[in-house]
Amino acid sequence: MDLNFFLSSALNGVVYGAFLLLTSLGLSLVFGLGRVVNFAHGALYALGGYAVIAIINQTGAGYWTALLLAPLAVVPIAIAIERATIHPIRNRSDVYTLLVTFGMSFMLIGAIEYVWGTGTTLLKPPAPFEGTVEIFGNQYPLYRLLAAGVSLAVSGGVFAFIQWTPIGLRIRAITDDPGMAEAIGVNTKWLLTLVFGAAAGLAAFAGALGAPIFAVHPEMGMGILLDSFLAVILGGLGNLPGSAVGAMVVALTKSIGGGYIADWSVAVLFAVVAIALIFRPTGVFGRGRVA
Amino acid sequence: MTARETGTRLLLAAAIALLAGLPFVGVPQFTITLLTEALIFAVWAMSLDLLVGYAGLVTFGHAAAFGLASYAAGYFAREVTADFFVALLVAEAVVGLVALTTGFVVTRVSGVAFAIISLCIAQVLFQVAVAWRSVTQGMDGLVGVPLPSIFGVTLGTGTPFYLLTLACMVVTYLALARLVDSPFGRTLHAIRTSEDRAAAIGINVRLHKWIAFVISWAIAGLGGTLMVFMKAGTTPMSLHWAESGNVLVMAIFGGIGTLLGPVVGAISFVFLRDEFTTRFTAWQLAFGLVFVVVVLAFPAGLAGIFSRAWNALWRARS
Amino acid sequence: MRRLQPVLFALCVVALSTAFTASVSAQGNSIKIGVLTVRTGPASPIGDDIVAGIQTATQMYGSILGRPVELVIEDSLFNPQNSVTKATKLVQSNQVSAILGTSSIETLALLAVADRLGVPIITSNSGPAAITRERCNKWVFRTNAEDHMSIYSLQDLISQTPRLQNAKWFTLGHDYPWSRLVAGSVKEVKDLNYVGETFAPLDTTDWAPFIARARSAGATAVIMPVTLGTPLLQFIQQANEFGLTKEAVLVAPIGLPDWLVAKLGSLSTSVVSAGSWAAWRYEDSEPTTKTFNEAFYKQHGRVAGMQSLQAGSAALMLYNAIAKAGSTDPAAVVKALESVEVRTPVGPLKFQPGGRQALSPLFLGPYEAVNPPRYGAQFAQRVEVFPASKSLPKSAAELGCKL
Repeated sequence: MDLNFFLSSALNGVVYGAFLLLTSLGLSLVFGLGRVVNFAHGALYALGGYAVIAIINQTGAGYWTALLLAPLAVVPIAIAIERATIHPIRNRSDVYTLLVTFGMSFMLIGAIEYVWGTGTTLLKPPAPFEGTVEIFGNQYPLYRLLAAGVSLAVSGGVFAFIQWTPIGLRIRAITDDPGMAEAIGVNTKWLLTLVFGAAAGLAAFAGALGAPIFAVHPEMGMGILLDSFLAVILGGLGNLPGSAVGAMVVALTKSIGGGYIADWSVAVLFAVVAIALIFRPTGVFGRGRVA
Repeated sequence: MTARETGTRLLLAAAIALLAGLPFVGVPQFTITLLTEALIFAVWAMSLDLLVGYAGLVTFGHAAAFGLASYAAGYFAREVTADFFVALLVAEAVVGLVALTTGFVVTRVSGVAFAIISLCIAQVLFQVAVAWRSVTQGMDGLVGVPLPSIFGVTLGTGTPFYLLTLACMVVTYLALARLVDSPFGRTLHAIRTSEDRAAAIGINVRLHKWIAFVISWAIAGLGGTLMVFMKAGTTPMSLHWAESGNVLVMAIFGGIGTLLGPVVGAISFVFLRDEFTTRFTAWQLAFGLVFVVVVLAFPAGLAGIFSRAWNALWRARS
Repeated sequence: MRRLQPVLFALCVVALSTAFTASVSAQGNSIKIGVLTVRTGPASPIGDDIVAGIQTATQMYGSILGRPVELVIEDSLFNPQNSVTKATKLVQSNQVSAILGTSSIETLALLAVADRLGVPIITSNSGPAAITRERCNKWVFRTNAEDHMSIYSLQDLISQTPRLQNAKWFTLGHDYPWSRLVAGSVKEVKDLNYVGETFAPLDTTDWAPFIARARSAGATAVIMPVTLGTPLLQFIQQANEFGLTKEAVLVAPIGLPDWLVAKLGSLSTSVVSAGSWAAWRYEDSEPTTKTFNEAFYKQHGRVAGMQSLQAGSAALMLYNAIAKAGSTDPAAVVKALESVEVRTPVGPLKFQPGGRQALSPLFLGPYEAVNPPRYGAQFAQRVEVFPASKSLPKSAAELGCKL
């Protein structure tokens, strides 16, 4: 229980937080844009894991190629889901999109079990990154560090995209004030479809990137979905920087808490979130929305 | 009272009579078993409807009230007495205490914050159930709950317990139907429509939400008590967020803000899940499909389908 | 008033399901046996093995009392409440004569309602000691060794392996009562250097914080009471990822399922198992195991795993008992089970006199490569038999079981 142990635990948190960041950003974007609480996000994450394995097995491609192709395989599915189920009920109350995505989550997990079976698949990290390096006096897996770096870089890219591109500007405009954005001629409907697809791509990328660490099975997305929700709500729904901080808070609480108090760590996480929300119902890190 | 209202009341009375008569007309035993479970869920789903459909408070943690009552009633029944009403009273005392305290805090907020804080409360209780091994036996679960007795007569499984459950369900419905039509219910409706406006005309929004929260938990506690007697035990899984999701599905699938919708939702949920898990290995696919289709095509839930048909019938008459 | 009408719909649903349930129960003279196990979700490979083992045993045994055996399989969803519903369905609607296939989650739930169900339940995959000790029930039998028996075998394993005796022990498990029992029993071993323990929440997917804890304690032997299935697979993979497998030997308190060994491949060689409930390589000394393994491979095209062998053994016990009883009358079958002795794939089995626990052997040893591969298995446990006589008191009363 020394300093090295604390630092190792913190590093574990940052690594898990990097994954959580990818999934939380997607959830937050989609909510900010269309007030869609996407329960199917975890299933899309799982689809990413399955896609990477299917691509490797079917085409014999290497891990890195498969990692890049996996999100591309999931995006069209997500776009089809959005057009078929969410788009037609955009004018209804928010709770309906939540319900539809809840049902979609069941369907996707069922479909995964139907196509690939219920078993768990292990995937080895790509060859040069199989080993460990010494950090804080402990051996740390190289692939985890790499994956965390990639996640952080991709998340940085998403932030840059939102901040500095015309599409990003529109996304921000709608998130701030959907009515006004529409009034000045921003096409909100197709933009939501595209962003939904992109968010699913991010989730699938996280699933594919995490496959060599967390293993692939049909319900692999449920845990990370719950954690992502906590992160997004802690940060304020629709508030991207808030979600990023939220993801890190959730991940650090889980890993440092896990290191020191083990079984109670999850309860502590929930207590922290509850207390934070009581005092700042719109999110701790800035102006989120009360849905 | 209009002819139509009389018609609906007669229909309702006929339905209750029919449900009560089912065990005596050769309905398979297992159908009664499933129906008992469904009616217990119906009580729970109606309690959720009060929160979601009338007070406008969506919760992801309604399993907390149900599971907590199961533990309290089950433990008491096993250790002290299996008298149904005494066990229920104890369970309600525990649930009421927790609802009063957590409700006081949690009803300060609404919307997503409320949904998530209630989830957090349920998850903390889940962890307590896992960790408080001397009382709950941890993940092994609390077992050995005896059959309930009423006025000293032990109630058998099957028909007697089914009739008790049906009675509880009907009483719950009638009480809630009165409540939502009372001035209190109208006030809740006003709050649901617009919290700000309600506050502006002098309604104590927090107090009303708090009372609704406690009533809802108390009714869910009735469901939890019935369930622990039916299953002769409970486990931490009864507090898990997946259960909270299930009851939300039942209520909304059936049609919220209608009280009877959640009853139908609970019955459909139990029977559909039983059929699907028996018939299909990919039951989640089939279940999800039915769910998505109903939500897309029938926004008012299953209740919406029939109210439309019923209305059409009356319109055709007049 | 629109909220009053869906009642009609409820009645439709009830009527429909009545029609459904009625159509199920009318069939010939077969003996119906219920199999209640997990068929979907992350734990389903366990259920697959259990079902496959029972199928092979059923085929091997043939007809009972001139009547064919019909298996009715239900999905427990690994959920206690649903297990009770499905068991009730098996009894009330399918009229099964007995229930096989349950794991601890289902068995513990059914224990509460066993008297109401009124059919024999024979579990082959439940660890919790209480099932055949203080909570034992007339209707509930167990063929696999319970947790205390596994612990004796673990202590035996430690005492005969110097590497384990001199190790620094750490318990890393899920937050089950079972895990704490395992931890407590390791602590009890004399002169053992016990350096710590940690219990992870049940939905843990990232084991890094707990691995860090084991490592900071300087563990060189990590016993892992983790749910058999996806979580154990994840844990072992992540332990390997962090290089923990190089620093410490992993000890499985109740063995590894063979499908899990196949997925782990060479990784499985970092594991030593204390008390496996069954092992297919026992076939080298037990002909019944060989017959079963061959029949299993022919039927399912893979090696018979730990849970398959155990479930098959439970099925064989049941079928012999029904034959001995001369009928499927539940009380008669229970009586026959009490005295039946059968050669099964886990060796000769009978239940403890006056109790419900079978005198099952346990299998100790490390996992290693099998050369040449048999039944498609490249890795398996090297087995040494630990007889029940070493782990189970002579009388059921000593276990606290009063029927």
